[in-house]
Amino acid sequence: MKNLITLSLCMLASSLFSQAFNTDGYDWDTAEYQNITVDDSTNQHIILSKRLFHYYYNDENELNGKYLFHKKVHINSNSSIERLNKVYISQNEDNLNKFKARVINSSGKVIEISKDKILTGVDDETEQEYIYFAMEGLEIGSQIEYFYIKEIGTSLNGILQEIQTYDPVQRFELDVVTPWNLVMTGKVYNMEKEFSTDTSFENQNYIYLHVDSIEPMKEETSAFMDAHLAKAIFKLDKNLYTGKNNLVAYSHIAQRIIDNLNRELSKKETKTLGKIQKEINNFETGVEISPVRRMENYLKTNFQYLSYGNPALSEITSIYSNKAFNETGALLVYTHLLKTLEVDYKLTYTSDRTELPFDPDFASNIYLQDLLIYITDEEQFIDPVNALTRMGYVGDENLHNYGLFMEEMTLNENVVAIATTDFIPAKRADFTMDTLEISVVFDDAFADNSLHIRRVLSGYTAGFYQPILGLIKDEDSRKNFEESILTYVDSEAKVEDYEIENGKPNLLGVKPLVAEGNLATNNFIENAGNNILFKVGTLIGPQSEMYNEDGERLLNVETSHARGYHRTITFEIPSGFEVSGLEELNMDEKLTYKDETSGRFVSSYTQNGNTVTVTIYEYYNEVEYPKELFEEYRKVINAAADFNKKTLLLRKAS
Amino acid sequence: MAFYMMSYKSIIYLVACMFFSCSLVAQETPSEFIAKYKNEYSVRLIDHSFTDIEVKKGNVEINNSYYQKNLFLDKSASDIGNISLEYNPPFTSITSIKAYSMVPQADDDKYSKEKVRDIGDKEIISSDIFYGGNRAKIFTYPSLQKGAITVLEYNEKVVEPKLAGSEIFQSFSIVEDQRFELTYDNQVEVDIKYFNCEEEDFFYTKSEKGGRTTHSWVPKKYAKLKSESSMPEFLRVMPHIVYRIVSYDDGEKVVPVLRNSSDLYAWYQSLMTEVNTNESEAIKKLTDSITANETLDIDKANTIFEWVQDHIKYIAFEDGLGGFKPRLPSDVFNKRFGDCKDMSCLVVNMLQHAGVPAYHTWIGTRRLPYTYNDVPSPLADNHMIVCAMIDDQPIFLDPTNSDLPFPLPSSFIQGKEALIGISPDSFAIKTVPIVAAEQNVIYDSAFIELNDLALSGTGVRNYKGYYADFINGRLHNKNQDDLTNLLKAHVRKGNNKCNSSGYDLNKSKKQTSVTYEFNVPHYAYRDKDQIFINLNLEKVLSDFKIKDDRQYPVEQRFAYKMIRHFSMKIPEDYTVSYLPPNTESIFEEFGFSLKYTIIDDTINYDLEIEIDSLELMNEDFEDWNLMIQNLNKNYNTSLTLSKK
Repeated sequence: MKNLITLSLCMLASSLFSQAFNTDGYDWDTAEYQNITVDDSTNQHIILSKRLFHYYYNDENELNGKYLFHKKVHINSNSSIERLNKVYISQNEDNLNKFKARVINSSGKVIEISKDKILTGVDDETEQEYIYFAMEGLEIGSQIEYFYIKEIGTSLNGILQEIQTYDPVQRFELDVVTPWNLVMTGKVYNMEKEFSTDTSFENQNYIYLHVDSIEPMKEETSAFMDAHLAKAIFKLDKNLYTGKNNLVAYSHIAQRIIDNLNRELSKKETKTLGKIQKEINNFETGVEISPVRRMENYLKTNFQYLSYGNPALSEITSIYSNKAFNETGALLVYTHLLKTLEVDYKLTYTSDRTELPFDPDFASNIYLQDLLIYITDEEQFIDPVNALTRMGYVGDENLHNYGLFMEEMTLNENVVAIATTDFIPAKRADFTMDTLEISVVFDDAFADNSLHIRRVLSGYTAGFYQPILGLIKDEDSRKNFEESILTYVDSEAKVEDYEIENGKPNLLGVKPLVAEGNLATNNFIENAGNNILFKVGTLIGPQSEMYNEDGERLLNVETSHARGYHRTITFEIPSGFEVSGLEELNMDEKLTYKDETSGRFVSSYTQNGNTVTVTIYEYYNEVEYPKELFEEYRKVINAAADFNKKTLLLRKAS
Repeated sequence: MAFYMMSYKSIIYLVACMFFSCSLVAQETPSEFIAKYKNEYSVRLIDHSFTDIEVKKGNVEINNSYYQKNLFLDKSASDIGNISLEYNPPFTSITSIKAYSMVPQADDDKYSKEKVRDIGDKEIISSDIFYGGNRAKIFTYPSLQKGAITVLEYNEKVVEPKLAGSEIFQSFSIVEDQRFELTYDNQVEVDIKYFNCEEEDFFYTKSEKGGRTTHSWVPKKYAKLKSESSMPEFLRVMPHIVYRIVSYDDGEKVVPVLRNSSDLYAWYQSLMTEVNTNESEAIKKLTDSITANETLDIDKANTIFEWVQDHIKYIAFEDGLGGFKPRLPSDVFNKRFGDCKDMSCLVVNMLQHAGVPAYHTWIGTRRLPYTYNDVPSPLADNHMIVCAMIDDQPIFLDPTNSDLPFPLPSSFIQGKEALIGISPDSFAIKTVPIVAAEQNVIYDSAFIELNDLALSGTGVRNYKGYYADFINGRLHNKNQDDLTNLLKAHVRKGNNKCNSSGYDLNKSKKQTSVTYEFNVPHYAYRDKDQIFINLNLEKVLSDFKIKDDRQYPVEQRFAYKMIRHFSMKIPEDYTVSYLPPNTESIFEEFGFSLKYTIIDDTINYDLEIEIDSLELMNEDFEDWNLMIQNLNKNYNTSLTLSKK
């Protein structure tokens, strides 16, 4: 299928059609735009941000692509000079057709950057090649401008362009020109705009998106800003020569992935797979767990995922000898092992919702960022390449998001992919619980007080510690990290002794992480002459707050994951003292959403003789709340922050 | 073949060592290695370096050869797998790389050898130098997995004898076998200096044979380098040897290389000829215009320095000789950017034109532990600044920091030796002063009222000296939201419920201040007829306790002073029934005092903290912690108001 499309793309070039559009003559004044008045409160103002994608057939009737990027920025602050006086363009020098850069200073003087000033090099860490140069003569009030044209690949199954930034943009242009038979389609996100079509070019298709005066993105807390930036995606829609429509569809994408995985294994590979299976059976986990979990634990303990994947790492014998796989290799190993275990699964591709939520209605390869395996019977996902996750516990950026689910089916001896898009719900608050039990031990003179703490963590809070604990080899670092589970209530407290239970990566999602120990600290005690102020609220640890966010809320409230806290603080009123202020500990703030109490902070106390027990429940069931509920959400968050400041008075009994 | 560069003796030695080491390694199986080092990420099994200095055809050639074996135990040690051997043409080159992995075999628990196939040679972009012209041999070891061993041999040729050399004897991983051998022809004079170690720390031998001298060092014990926050720069704690070629006999005469700082200065001067004679009408015109109203040298210097700070941006170009030779001031002036050499030369050029005595000055930052007397070589410095003489007193100016208050030196050169070029053939070495604590101050003063249980008031917060540099650096951003958030965080009082507003920012390079209004709801605590208020509205240094097992001194960027003065009006129907005691902890290099006084109807709170040292030494830790403990005890004390 794929070959057929490629072939038809190539065949279709016809010398009968003249190329009406060309980037060859492009220069400084080709783009048309207005100059600007700069608002002095901005660091910089983007005057022009233009990108042009030009696809055409060459003399050999092969599809070629050229990309033009043109940017002009008004510099309005020192921080902007420091940010923009060096320009790096990721690039291979060989395919750069044209490149020009200049500085226009406030008096109108133009300084062009000569060719000999343009440098090339490789980033030592990423090995990415760049051309780069320094902008000369820059001052506040200068404008920098550069454009380049380079050759690009012709993969047309989804190209993403960001329209909005955190700076104002005066003029944004995105132009896509293709040969007569290739019809493109595009979609705009987070902005009330659509691509336009211009039919005036002879034998060429032209779609474009031109936008003037784009406001800078205004940051808000508890929102994933990048996901809300205005952006556009375009892709190939139709080939008029073949008459085929909807060329980039999730069903095609799924079929290609399944075909790729269903290659026949060599004898050696099959033998190696048997060896791996044997090792899995002998793999010691320390607890009773399901075969799928055992498989996952074995693979994540013994194999390394290399994202830059050398092609050999998708071949099973090579994977086994290198103890490493790339993404394709990981999939191959996992799926074959699952088949051996006779476990039903669906491959799932999704995206990082904090940057680019998956769009089920506009199919594109852009959204296929993260690969998961859905284990049907368990109704749980596995992330095959992230060693810090386990079944049922995958990256929270992948949840509360749509995904492409792919299932294999054999029809007339052909393996067919069944593709569906579906919503992947986030976990509820009870999945990520943080349970804290604190007993306060007062010293007679309040000079050497201590806390006995037991903290039980599950879900994403456990996920912050549990997978890493087993990996820290340096004793000091491990001790510091383990102690931080307890000292989060008081970072200056001294840990007298502590124990960790279930601190192993393989127990993530199987058993909760437990830390228990004693802390010496006086930070919750304040002296005031003969009286003692007992800052009981500080014992729940520092709390996030939204005290000063009373402006208009523009975006929904978004968080990484739903979460719950259950805290109990117990203390004996010291003999000879009276306590006051207890009734202030009774608090209750609620957030109602979807016909339930979806978020709540509730605290209360009980007194039994001299023993006081304070109980606090706090939870947020959803990862997203409508902006209309922001005020209620804020109240619950701030209730916890208010509790954090609660104080009791211990006064000598009269 | 590159081996021709090495002396015959070194080759024999190298081969012998390799054989010896290989046989050692071969005795242990992958599983034994894994078990033996189960708590390590990686182990340096062998780290041998051989330096050979030879006189050839009247010139000195330095050839280094390296032999390294690393045991890979954890995927986080990926630096072992991805190698980038940097070199700096035309001064250095790398040849004869042999690299392979020894890969554990699951079947028989033995190693099998797998060669590195592709070795790239690329120009490198570094994060701190815009253009360094550095290249690197880049490759990745194949089949790296737990228990695998990487083996690397290569030669490095150094053609500039002034750039020799040093050897470090410590690492973040365990080192099992390290050796450094230095061999040179007897007609070469070499100086050797020890840093953070002495000869007794090594199995050291010196031998002479065939007109050549060989020194060999093998450490008696290896201590893993521990990483601690605010620890001194690595070269100030890691044991290492610096060797310097003093001179050599080319067969006819003794050729000086770096006998002393005069030789070093003569070399630096040879790179300055064009800069010294560079004249630019544009620079002169600008200098004249900006200093037209100034009569005093100090004011001219101030104006010129700030102009360069404001108009020339720091971009580092350090390719080849460009790493030592400044670009012409006229070019820097036009382009509006340069590195430290370029910017300081422009300042010198402008100051001299304005009639202010000013000199090109070389300096090693606090990163380097050397003096020009101990190490008269380019290894001793890494920075260029300006020394201006104002009323016969030197001031040290560093225009690379656009926020540095005139005439403070950069914080990272305090206490360091400066090599000042007085004229093409005379120089002086002077020490840059350490800026006193009272010049670097954050002073915050607020008038407070108690309304019900809320605190409200107005205040002014003032930043001086290096603190002005610090805050101004964050105020370049014009985004109003970012600015407000920054100021809010800085002036916060009491707790995070504090809401501040009405900022009036008064910014200058020497001193920046902001006035503000603030309100902290429900701050005080009431019980019956009593109100309790904690006037420690900012708990400066409260979390600065030094851990008991701290190994290294604590570095500070600069000495400083913090002053807080809060005045609270006593509500009319209340009297002060408990005022916390006055207290102080004063030690030689640090201390604080906290005073409460009542004057008429006002309670005054005065806190002063002074840290007068750039480095807290281990012997001071106990006193320091006593100070912090006392500070915290007093931070946790409230005053009491009782109803009349």
